[in-house]
Amino acid sequence: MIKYFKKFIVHYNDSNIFIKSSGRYVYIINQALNKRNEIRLPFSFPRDFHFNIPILKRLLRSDAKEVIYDKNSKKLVIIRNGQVYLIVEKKYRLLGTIIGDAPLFNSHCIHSGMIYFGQYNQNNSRKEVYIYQIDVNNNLTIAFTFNSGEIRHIHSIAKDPYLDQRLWITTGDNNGECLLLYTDDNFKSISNLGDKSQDYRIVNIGFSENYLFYGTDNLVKENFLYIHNRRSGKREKILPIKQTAWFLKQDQTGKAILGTTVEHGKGCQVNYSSIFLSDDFGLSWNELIRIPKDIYPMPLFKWGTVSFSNGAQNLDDLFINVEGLKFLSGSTFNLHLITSFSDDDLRKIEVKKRDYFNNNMHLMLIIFRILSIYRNHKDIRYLNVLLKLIDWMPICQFVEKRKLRNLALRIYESSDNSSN
Amino acid sequence: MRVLIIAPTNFQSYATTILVKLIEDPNIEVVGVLIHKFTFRRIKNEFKRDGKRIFTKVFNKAILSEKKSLNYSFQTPKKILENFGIKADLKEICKEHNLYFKEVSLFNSSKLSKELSELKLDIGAFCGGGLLRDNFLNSFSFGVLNCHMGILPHYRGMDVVEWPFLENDKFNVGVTCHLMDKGIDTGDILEIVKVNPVKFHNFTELREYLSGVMYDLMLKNIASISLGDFEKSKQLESDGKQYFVMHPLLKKIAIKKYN
Repeated sequence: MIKYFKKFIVHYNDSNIFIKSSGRYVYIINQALNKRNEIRLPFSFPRDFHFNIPILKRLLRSDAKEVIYDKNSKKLVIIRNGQVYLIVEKKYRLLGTIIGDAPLFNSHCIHSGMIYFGQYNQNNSRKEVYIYQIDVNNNLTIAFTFNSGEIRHIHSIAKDPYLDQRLWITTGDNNGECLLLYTDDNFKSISNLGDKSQDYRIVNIGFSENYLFYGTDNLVKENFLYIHNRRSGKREKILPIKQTAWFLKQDQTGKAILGTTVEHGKGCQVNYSSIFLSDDFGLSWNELIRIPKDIYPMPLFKWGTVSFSNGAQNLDDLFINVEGLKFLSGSTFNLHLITSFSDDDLRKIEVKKRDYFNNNMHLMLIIFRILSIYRNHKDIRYLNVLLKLIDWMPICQFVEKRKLRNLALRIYESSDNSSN
Repeated sequence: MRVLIIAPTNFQSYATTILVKLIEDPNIEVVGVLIHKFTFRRIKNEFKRDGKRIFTKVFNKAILSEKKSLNYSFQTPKKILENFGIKADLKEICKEHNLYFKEVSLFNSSKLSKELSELKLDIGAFCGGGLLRDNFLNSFSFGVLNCHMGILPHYRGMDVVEWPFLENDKFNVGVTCHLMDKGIDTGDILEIVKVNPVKFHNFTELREYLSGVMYDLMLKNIASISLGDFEKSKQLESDGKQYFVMHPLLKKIAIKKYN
């Protein structure tokens, strides 16, 4: 089944629970019980004054929120506008307030019934920064405090799946503030692995038995995807990337997905966001798709980024949320849609033609995917179908059509010249 | 050997030439001709597959190339018919020789398969008309032969005269005689004839030449099969790729490369 949504963010999905949101509305769908709950969070001015206009929603950051679902305890916590809510059925209960609006998307951690999340705000005056925790009795407290001036904010907290008590914390943003920390005793002691420079500015981390893997979010230098040996502490560059790496998710089989972000800075050399896939715990990466940044200025209308849902046992079930990127901003789609694209789909497109696509968003997604396949494999049949798909884009997008067509033909010419 | 000719239209020169030649062959028993009827559904499907180019294709085939092909120095099905003084009209020829003739809207109906089974057919000579399914193919004791205007297993599907030029593989142009199966050009290969495209001026001329090769190859292989003197080689799905209708921009590049 083709799965994608317009104007929704998918926060969590497993075989039973599906949680998506739009603005202050959060929808919890229990697929096993065929039950759907709609939570309406408190109205907040000006961010909810958007009249459902997508560009206004973006400007006002009306979608920003963190949804935390613990599938063991079935506890659901939502953080929006600095307020931490516990959701019970269709009602919410305020657990307390935090500094900042909400933690970075899906970068929280659940460990032994405790929920941990970090403060994520501008913090220009470099005040104290907190790691918060919600215990089994739903008490919101501070788990750890970074001293004033130590860091700007927290990027992520993650449980190490290979070490029982270990939690990892990443922070940013400037040189001296980029820490790659771990704790084995619930924040009683905390150790740093890196040199605190932007080379260690990391958002999400992936794990294998012998090493960590991650991409850097360096704004002053070129970024890389790394593996970081647990024993020696040495790290190895796997792949240079042309933008900053933010979000990363993995499953137990070694499959991992990493998204890059278009931002301002020397670390961002191109105007598109990429999604990389690894089948071997980050040892090698394959670029699945490049989605160009849209025309709206950054950071006023957000950076161009992709983020991922939590909860998927199999990575193919994961959802990708797109923000600030051309044709797809504000939409979300299932990873399977782009990973499963094969010769058989080429045949289906040739047979079904336009009927293969459910809407323009689907068409654009496949155009970007095929462009990447063609770029990587140089199989001319993909160029052929790509040119046909470009023809099927709406007439009003004639400028984009021409750009895409030229880009596709340029790839052909360059590969043709090299093969000659 | 009991042979049935399967044709896309009643007026196809290629099928007519094969029919006329097979009638002359004392070792072959021509049972008749099966035509894919022009129905609204067929036109719709072909339009869906080929798009607007279906009109130019019909125009080029029916009007332009009809005249052009007579001017070529090499043999084409149209030239052969012209030399024989025969008009491409399968129905008329079948009537004249008292052969089986049927126009069907669907090749793959169980009713037709049953009817064909009763005709006790050995070989089908496929000259076009759409995809064939297992129940149709199983009506022939040996199988259905197709002469594909491309080199198998590398170039399956559509526009495979032009695709080798874009793949920088222009000497892989020719015709393959193969047995049909339910896949697209994936059946056992009987014979391959490669053609040097440098000898021709453009794709139209090359295609016309290849249509003459197809005709020769079809007759030659039917004769070989009837004498039991043939070899067939299997092809794996992974041995080649399926190509589709070429986008006009790529066609332009292919033409440029030809020149």
